[in-house]
Amino acid sequence: MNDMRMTERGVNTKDIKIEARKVQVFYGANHAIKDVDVDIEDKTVTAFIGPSGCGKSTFLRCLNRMNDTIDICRVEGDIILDGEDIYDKRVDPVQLRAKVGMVFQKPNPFPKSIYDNVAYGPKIHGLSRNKAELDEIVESSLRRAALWNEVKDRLDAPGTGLSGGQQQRLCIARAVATSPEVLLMDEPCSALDPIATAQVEELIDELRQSYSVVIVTHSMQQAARVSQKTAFFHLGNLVEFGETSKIFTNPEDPRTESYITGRIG
Amino acid sequence: MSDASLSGAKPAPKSSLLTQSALVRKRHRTGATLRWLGLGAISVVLFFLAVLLWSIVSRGVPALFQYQAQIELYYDPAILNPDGGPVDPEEIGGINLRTGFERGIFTNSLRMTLENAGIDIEGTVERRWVVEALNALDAVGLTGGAEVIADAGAPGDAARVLGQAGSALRAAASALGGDDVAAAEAARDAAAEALGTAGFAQAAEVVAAIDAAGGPDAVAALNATGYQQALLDAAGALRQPADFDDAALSALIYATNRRDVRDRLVENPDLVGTTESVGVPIDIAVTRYLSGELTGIGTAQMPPGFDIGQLALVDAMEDAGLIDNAFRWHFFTNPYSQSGEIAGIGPALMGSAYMMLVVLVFSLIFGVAASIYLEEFAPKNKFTDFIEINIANLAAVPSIVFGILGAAILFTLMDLGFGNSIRGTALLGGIVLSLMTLPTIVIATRAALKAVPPSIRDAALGVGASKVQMVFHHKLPLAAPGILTGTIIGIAQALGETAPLLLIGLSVSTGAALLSSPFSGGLLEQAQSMPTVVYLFAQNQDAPVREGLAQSAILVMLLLLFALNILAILLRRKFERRW
Repeated sequence: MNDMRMTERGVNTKDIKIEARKVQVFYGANHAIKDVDVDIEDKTVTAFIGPSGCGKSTFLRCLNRMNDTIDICRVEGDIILDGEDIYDKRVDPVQLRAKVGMVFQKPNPFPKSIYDNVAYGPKIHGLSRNKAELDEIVESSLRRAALWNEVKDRLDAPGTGLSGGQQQRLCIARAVATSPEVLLMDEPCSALDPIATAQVEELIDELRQSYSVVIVTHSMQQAARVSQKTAFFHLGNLVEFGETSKIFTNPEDPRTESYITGRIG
Repeated sequence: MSDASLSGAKPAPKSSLLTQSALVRKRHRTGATLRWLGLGAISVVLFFLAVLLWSIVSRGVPALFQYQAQIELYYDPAILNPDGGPVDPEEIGGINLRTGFERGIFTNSLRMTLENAGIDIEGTVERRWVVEALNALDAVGLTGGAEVIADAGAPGDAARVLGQAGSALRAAASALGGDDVAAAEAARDAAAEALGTAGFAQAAEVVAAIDAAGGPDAVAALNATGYQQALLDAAGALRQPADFDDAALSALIYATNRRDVRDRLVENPDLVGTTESVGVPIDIAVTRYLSGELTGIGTAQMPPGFDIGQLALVDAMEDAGLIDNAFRWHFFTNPYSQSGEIAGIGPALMGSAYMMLVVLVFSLIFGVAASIYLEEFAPKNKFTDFIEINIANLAAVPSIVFGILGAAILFTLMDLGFGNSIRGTALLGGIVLSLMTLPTIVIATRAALKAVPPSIRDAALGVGASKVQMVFHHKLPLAAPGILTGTIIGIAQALGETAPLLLIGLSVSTGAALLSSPFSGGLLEQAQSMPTVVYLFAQNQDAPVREGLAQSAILVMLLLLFALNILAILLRRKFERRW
């Protein structure tokens, strides 16, 4: 993953998957996200970087309306997914979340078997007509998450019994099982060791073939390694958004430069 | 740092690790004090718990065993139909059959059994009273009493002889106290002569030697002998055997009000004229004598209503092996009764079980539903805050207040035309207890739901589950152990609750006594409950019931509570999941 490849990726022009315009988020009286405009492309990994508390996770959670579950949270502005406003009154967040899957910071498998963990989403969304189809979805999802070979003999074992890296890949398998179009990842590797991190990163790179992936990360190396587009957030503002290679080599904003060189954050 | 060294201040002396500094010593002292306080508190608690358990077990366990006499029960046709001729089953079952026929059957059977065992009933009683009389005489030195009594013939005759001597002594005492010396001398001699005639030659000499002119000194000397009182006591004892009759005999066993015998005869009229061996409970007052609780001398140590002649008979029965101490199985099936011999907790156990069922259904359904709504769906505003505070307050409301509420509902329903039949039913009791248990379950369920990690909620919502799916597929199963524990603790609390049940009529003993079997009846029948039956036992007129059976009932209740709590622990262990 050298600079050469990054520039190479950058030249591909893709369809815009999610279009965010003038997004504002308030936690009670606290103005957490201010006027954020981002275009997230299809079949691209977009990384959100920035210091803690800058609002990158909050913004990520706006993209599948997970912020709805927080009572005091209020979102303004437009977030358009394939031409449809996801904050429209007619949109059911349940349907939205089937399209926009999410992987969390801490691996959070259900305290059920590995099979049930992956099968849960397809079951509640009615993606399979019978057991055979469900088995197929589970297998393909686990294969996608590069976990199949490790767990195929113990699908009935509890998901919580796996190692941290395996658990996180299980969560990714669970997220891809509902065939989403966008995959949101909130610091997916922060609880993992370097080997597991490498596996997950490799996985993200593969997932890019089928999905639009948005990843929040604290590690700038990780952002540089896996993403094609990078957005830098600071104090609730989107400071800079562009090609990853450009952000890391030739940032326009002095704040971005300070951050990636380690002077702020 | 560098400033300090530059200014030439003395560096702090190095402290040794081997000696404790004052501050550390103080900290350790505080820690030790707290530890001792904690140990002390726990010791006090354990001590009182041990005392409590000991007092319950030491009385309750023996009371679970009952002394009973093995009797050859003969269903005597002569008693069942005194007019002679065949016995009509209809007549046996009739309410206005000559009352007390059971007593006749039991008395005759007991007499027959004792005689078959070689016990001379009247003789045993008589001998015991003679011993009593001799003891009285010997105590004051009236030797030779045995011959006197034997010479007199029947105890009644001996009583007359002794009584005459006693009266003569009394007359002598009053004459000696008077001014007339001649009369006093005459009375003294008459008394001495009466003693001599009776056969107490030595005593006669003692009396004759008293100075007739002695006045008060002579009276004192005569009284000091104690002859008069001893003679009268002995005479009284010797009169007793004549009073011994069938009633005194049948009082030893539980023979009255034997509905069971009547029922058995109605059910199977062929029994008339046959004999069967049955264990008949010994009278509950006598059981204290048998268990050795009443030892020693004096009327306070006698079972109330019994005399030593009857107890001699009990001793004889015991020696003959007619009395055994059997487990009181019927305690668990019989209804409550005033008579401790047959009293039981059967309907109370069933009533409590029914009520627990009602509590389980009502409070679990409503409690869990309310908690899920409040925890997951209710908007957070002033109104839901108000509801939450009031649920917490409800948990602290004294149970008798719920009883008043239940009574108010009861009387309203009675006015509305449901009549007296709903008074004290298991359903009503269960509903009142459910109201009481509801806050406990709501609080436990909410705490259990809160304890489910938020990551599970995120995971479910993130994969596209709806709120209801998230709650029912993920949170509720994980909260189930906590909910179960809370429910069982709430139910255990309800099981022991007395006050509200007393107010809605569950302590009425007559109602449950009408139940022919503890397992008849249901939710809409007059019921009893364990705590109210303990209350009834504790109010009983007989000390052995108050101090024995009440503890037995408490013991059963405690065992049930322990079982429930152990169940709660086991369920929690089984269903607890780690994440």
